[in-house]
Amino acid sequence: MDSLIVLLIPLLPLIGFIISGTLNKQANHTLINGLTCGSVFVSFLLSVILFYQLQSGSAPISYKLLNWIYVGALKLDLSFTVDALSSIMLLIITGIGFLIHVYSTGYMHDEPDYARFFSYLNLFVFFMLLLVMGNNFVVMFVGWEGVGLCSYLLIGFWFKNNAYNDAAKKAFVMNRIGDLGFLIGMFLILNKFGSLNYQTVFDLASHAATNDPTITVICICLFIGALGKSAQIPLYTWLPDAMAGPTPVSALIHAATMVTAGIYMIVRTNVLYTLSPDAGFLVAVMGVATALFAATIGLKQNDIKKVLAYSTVSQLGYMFAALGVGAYETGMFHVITHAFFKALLFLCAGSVIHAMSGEQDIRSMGGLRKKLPITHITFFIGTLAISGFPPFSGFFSKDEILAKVHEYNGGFMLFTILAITSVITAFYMFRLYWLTFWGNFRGNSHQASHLHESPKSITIPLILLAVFAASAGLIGLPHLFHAPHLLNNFLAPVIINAPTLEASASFEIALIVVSLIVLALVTYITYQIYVAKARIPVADADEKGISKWVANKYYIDELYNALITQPLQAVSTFANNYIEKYVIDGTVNSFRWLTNTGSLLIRQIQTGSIGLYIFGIVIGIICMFVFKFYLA
Amino acid sequence: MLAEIFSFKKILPVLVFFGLATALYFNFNDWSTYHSYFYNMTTIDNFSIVFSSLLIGAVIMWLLMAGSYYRDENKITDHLAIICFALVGGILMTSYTNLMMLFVGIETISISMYVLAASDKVSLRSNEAGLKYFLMGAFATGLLLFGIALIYGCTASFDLGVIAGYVSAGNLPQMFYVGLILILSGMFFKAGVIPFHWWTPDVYQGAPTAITAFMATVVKAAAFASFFRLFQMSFAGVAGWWIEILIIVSAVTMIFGNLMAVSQTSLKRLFAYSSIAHAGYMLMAIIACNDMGARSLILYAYAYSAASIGAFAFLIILINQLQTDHQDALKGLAYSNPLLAIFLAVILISLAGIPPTAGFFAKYYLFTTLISQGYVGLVIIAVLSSLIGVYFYLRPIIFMFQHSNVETKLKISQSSLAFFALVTLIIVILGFMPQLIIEII
Amino acid sequence: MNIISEVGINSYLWLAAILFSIGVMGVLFRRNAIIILMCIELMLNAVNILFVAFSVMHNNPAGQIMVFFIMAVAAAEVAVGLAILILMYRNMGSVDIDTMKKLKW
Repeated sequence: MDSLIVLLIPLLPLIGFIISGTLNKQANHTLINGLTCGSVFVSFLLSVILFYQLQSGSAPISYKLLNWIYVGALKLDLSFTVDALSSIMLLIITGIGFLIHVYSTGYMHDEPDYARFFSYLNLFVFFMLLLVMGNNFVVMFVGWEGVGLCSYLLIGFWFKNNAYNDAAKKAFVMNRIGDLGFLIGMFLILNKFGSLNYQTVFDLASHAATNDPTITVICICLFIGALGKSAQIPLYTWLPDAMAGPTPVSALIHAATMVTAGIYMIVRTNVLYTLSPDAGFLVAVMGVATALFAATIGLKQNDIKKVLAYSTVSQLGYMFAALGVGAYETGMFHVITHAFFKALLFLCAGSVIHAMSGEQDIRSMGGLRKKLPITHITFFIGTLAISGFPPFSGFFSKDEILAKVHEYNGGFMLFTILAITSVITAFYMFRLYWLTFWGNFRGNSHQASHLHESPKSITIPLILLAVFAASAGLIGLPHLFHAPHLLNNFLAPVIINAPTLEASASFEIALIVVSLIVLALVTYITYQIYVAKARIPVADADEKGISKWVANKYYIDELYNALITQPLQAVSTFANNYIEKYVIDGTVNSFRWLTNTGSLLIRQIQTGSIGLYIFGIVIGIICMFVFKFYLA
Repeated sequence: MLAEIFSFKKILPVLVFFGLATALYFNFNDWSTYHSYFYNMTTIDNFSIVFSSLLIGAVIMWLLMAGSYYRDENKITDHLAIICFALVGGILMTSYTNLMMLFVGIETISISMYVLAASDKVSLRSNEAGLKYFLMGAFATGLLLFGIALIYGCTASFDLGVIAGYVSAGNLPQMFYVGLILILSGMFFKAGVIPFHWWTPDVYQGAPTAITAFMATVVKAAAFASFFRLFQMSFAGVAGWWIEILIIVSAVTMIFGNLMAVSQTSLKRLFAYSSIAHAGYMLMAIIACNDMGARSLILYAYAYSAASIGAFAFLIILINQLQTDHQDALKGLAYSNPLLAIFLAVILISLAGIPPTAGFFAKYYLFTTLISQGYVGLVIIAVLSSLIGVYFYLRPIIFMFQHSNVETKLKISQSSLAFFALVTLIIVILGFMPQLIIEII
Repeated sequence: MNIISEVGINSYLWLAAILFSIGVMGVLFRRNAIIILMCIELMLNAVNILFVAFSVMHNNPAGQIMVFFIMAVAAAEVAVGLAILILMYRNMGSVDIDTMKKLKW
């Protein structure tokens, strides 16, 4: 029964995809809604059942579908395993996925390609489930590539716009760079441990020596994969561009689920990372650097979705910082809380964009709190959560990360940067909040006349997500409260041998107090700047000095373009014009010429004369005699 | 079993069809029984059953195909009689255990073919084909007989088993080897490999197309069955001696057969050269000279026969309706007769040896067999030459997809379309399940 | 006692080989199809001599039976061959094989 559930969870969205994918454009919306939302909802219910079984102490539940790849010593099954870690991911994917499906029914209501959109969404859910449920690296990789594909399809969903297509291609290419790292990592694992099955590899690895160079290389390769998928420096530039996709897609794929696949992968392989402190340190440094870097860019963005995108990159940096120091549960904790509040923020942004008739620039917004009360309240809760106001969820997870990084040996520098970053985070989030919902409306009259609160299918998911964004922190209360840390206890079977990092109670109190004061200060300052003095950000062209630099995202895209794209273009142009034309075509054509000429020559011996034919036969016989009797 | 065929030989095609079906049934009835007939001069073993089934099956297919060819001619009874007579010769060639039977079989099939090749009495080309085939065939028979005589002189027997015993006793006189070379020459001629191939292109082109189809399938398969049988059952003991000749001949045949086909514009002649090249590949099975070789030869013969009977069936339609077999006639076929074009494309792809068709797996098994015996160099030559083959087999397909000014629309009856579908089905089924044939013996 | 022991098998062998070669030469150098046909018959008869000689040498009747087969087959062959030649003569007015070069390359 349980194993049937395990099979059904990914199967239902796949069925939803297949059916809705084969429907035509005129298909009934109700049918598509029932099919796609329904399949994800049933998957969610099944995930809840599994979660409760694991919660009550059941062993991980497996289902083996078939003997997949049996080549020589390599034996890979297509099989699924649900343990504590994947169970949490299942709840996030199907739960938030369901809410976003419901939201999309409202948001995409007028879309002519309705069925296509929902079939892609279901396909994404299927691959994401595959990614987290597989019991070996190859199944994970299939899911990994699959979500990349869906991401590509959904970013370029409005494929008539060429800029969107470019964004989709950029996301795909950037991800491919990371995937290469993942692949190499997989091969190295296979080479080192002779298997790709999680259980086998981790059992063998738990006996391996610490600081084994091979394991360090494996960890770095896997981390490169995570860099691509989770949009970290230097492969982060695709994520802001990915905002070209419909907003529910940004919420589901580029905030809540797919981008956390890198985190999931590292938590899954925590045994290996624990064995390699060097790789861990690299992960932490990259995470911290990304967190700060993306947060500063977020300060100067004026597109509501771009701000959230950079914020996502920055928050993912936090998670990597936690993983790097060995606090895997904390990383997962932030994945969970972030999934709630960032999905919430994106959906609110979608609601705003919906109300603003497609306008995304916050300079044209303002004063929306009266027209969009529910969106306003829920967005406010999201802002508080991400900024880390107690007792909202972001506070608990972010403070836990800060505390763990502080306890990490030599982590003070990292801690300081993260603390500063969290101030910046609060700053840009409140800037966004004030500019959007307070002050006077700055859009045109057409937009003003259309301002309205979104329909129920949009607001209900917002309210539900807001409830979770506010309360999800309760699953991981700090030690201070002497309450059990529910998440850590639940995840304990999955995290093996990880170092324990416990902050002292006094430090935690200090952290809470200081962050409260600073956050209050930031709130006040931003209110002064953006509401009281109503300073609206200037047009991009008028930016000067450092702020111009930041507003242009440090010219990273331009740098990549000049350093990598242009030289590659030049080389391939050269190859196309010269190597292809003369060397390859020349060789091929000369073979063709040789064959044709040879053929024309040789066919001349077929003269049509019987005498010569018989002569040829006799010559043949004589040759055989000579060959066997005189040459032998 | 043989009487079965005789008794129906003067009656209508339908009866012949059922007669052949009955023969096929009796043929399989003998499965694994190893009966000997005619005072041990023929023995029905599984190898011969599989091959004679191929022959009978090919004749059945040929009947289905030639029905349209002979529709407006009144000499069908004569032709059917001679075809059945030739089939008897072919079956003897697959099941003989005595050189006398081999000779009788070869002559039965050859004389029938001389007549059939020249059967279009008013056509100069048909006359020429018949005469060329006859003169050279008779000459080759002389060679073969002289070889048999010398072998008989050494061994005092025509029985394959006795000869094999003589061979394995060792210390063979010079005369034996001379005889062996002459027998080889005779077999080479019947198999149509270079440099004994001269008759093949001219006769294939000149003979009536239906007869060419018969030659390319039944005669070819029978020739190779007898060739393989003779050298495996009698001369395997001196394999080291004759294998060198076979390797050279096979390599030369593959290269030059394919090369000469490249510049052909007449499709009929193209298939003639292609049959030479395929003969080169089938020689490789004889080089292997073991059970694996037998299996690959059988698969190859089935795949090649199926594809070439389809190809010639198409040529019959083409020549009947357009009076030409020039490749330009194919232009635009994919647009005027899309279904037919698809079937023809599958047939050509199978001949070229591209997966997932029967032709690919036939070549694949053949090459793995040869590699497992260490003939890597020969396999490399075979692969390279089949690349040339891909070039000229795919060219008709390209022609089919070219637009032309003259819309050639062929009138295809439902039954012939069904025939092509059947051929394509066989090719694809053998492509996906070659073990149907491979594991049969 | 028998003829082989008096003359020796080698003589028969040489006789047959020479006859066969004459036949081959005839086929090679003659242009008249009927003469070529006759030369082929000569080749077959050389083989027949060989079979009979070996048959007596080995005291084995199979060779002589083979000769009957060959004769029968040769007769059939000649019948078919002459029929084709008549056809050719009707169409071309000649039995010179060099006139038959329509099919080439």
